Amino acid sequence: MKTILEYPNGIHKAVPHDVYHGRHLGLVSKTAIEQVDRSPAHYRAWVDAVGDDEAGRHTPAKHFGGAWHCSLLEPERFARTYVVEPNHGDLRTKAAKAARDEWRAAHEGMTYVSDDDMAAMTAMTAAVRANPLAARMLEDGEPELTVLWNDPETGLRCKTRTDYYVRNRRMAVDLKSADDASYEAFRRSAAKFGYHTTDALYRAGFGAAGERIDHYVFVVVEKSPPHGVALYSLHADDIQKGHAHVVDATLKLSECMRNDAWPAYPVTIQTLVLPPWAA
Amino acid sequence: MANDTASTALAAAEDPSKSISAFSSQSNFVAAQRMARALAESSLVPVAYQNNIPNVLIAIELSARVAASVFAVMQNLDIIHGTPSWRAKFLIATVNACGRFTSLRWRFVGVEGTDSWGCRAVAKEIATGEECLGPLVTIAMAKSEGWATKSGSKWKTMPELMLCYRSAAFWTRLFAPELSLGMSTSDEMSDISEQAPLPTLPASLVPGSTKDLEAELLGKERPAAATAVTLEMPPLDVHPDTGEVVPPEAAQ
Repeated sequence: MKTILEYPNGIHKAVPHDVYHGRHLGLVSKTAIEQVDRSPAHYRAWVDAVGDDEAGRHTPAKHFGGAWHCSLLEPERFARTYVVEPNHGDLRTKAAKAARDEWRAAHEGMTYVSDDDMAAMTAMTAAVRANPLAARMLEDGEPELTVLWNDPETGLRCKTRTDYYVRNRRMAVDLKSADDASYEAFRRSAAKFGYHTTDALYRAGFGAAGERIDHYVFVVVEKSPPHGVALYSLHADDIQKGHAHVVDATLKLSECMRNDAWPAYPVTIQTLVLPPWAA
Repeated sequence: MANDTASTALAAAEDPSKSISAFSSQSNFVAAQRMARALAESSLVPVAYQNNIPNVLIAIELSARVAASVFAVMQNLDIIHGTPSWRAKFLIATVNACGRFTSLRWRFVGVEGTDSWGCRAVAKEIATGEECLGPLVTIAMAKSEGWATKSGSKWKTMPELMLCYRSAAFWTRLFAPELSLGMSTSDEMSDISEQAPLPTLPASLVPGSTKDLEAELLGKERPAAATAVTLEMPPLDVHPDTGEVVPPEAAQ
């Protein structure tokens, strides 16, 4: 199986998830930037964790989000790779455990989703389809496009992957499943998970590939009834901050690569100041 | 040292009385709001003003106060860590075009390449002929203030230009503070800030209008007032030749 580095620069369809998520020294991605932010040493340890089963380390929220993305954007792949696992009863009993093991053996290689999760995903998809703006956004585009390019400043290879790209609208859609899709809750999530950095990285990648993203829209859907749908687009000032973050992290990584030096935390005694909320 | 484009833009707006002071009356505010709406929809204006009518309104007000075109103000007003600040070349052009002083010039002292190197901005007051000599700015000052030691500092790569810019900013603060409206220059703000300045957002990364996208997705014309501040205002009379807004009392 070829690695992501063997793909040429540009936009690629249907790059297998395992290939896309492969870790390679010097390859810039949103996750790589998060690791570099912590420290170059943490980034290096993350890259070197050979055989680390990234899928296996997914949180239940990520597992749910991945399954929902697939069911909404790639229903054929969903039918091929996912299966709804029935309720086997009380798993503290031998009979239920045996029933589960037998069922899983019969569905080896498939990814399981519980019937409760499947019901939630179906309702969330219906909520998206019922939203006039969100429904139109998910028309005439392509899911899961992988973009590869070289950073113009450092020459480092970069990658990103969109949920859905509508070329004729120059629009990328980022689907998010959430417990709370309200403005306040989502902007906290955007800050916590660095969505402004993701936005800037997408725009840079598509720009390098000769395309352009005018609109990068988050379609946020609540996992519980009434499955509220909210649409958000980041302010230009925050995209600028995201761009600055990408530039800084890429330069830092490039310097580490050039010197083959991967420091962790500063070798100094830092004065600790409590966060504002504790003061 | 003054920027030609900025000088031209200033010369084009010689008479400040012809500019709209957006906040001086209700009718001026409505007229300025219309102008702001048109400018905010342009992709040629800087990112901070695109789809941002309030920011454009402030730029219109500042353009009236410094007698420059709105476009020149928008191109030369940076928001550094949330604080508006002039680009130094624009401030110099403002002094040169104000008519009260001769154009700014610089007198260098010390030895180039050493900490003693520095300069003062100087101009003459036209009415009295008195020479106005600005404060001395040196490389030693830039180092002791920490301006020259910051990551990415322009003092390391273009010290002569930075000496001229900083001495011009100091000169303006002493002899003509009304021209800068009390604001600092962008490079001063970057120097005194704890944070490094953000890199400029490349044009390819500038987002489009979400209101336009909504209208496109819903398959309808974008409502004209969708981004405007709605106010209960009487209709305005506009002069057919000049396009100037005629105040209601004058139209009666």
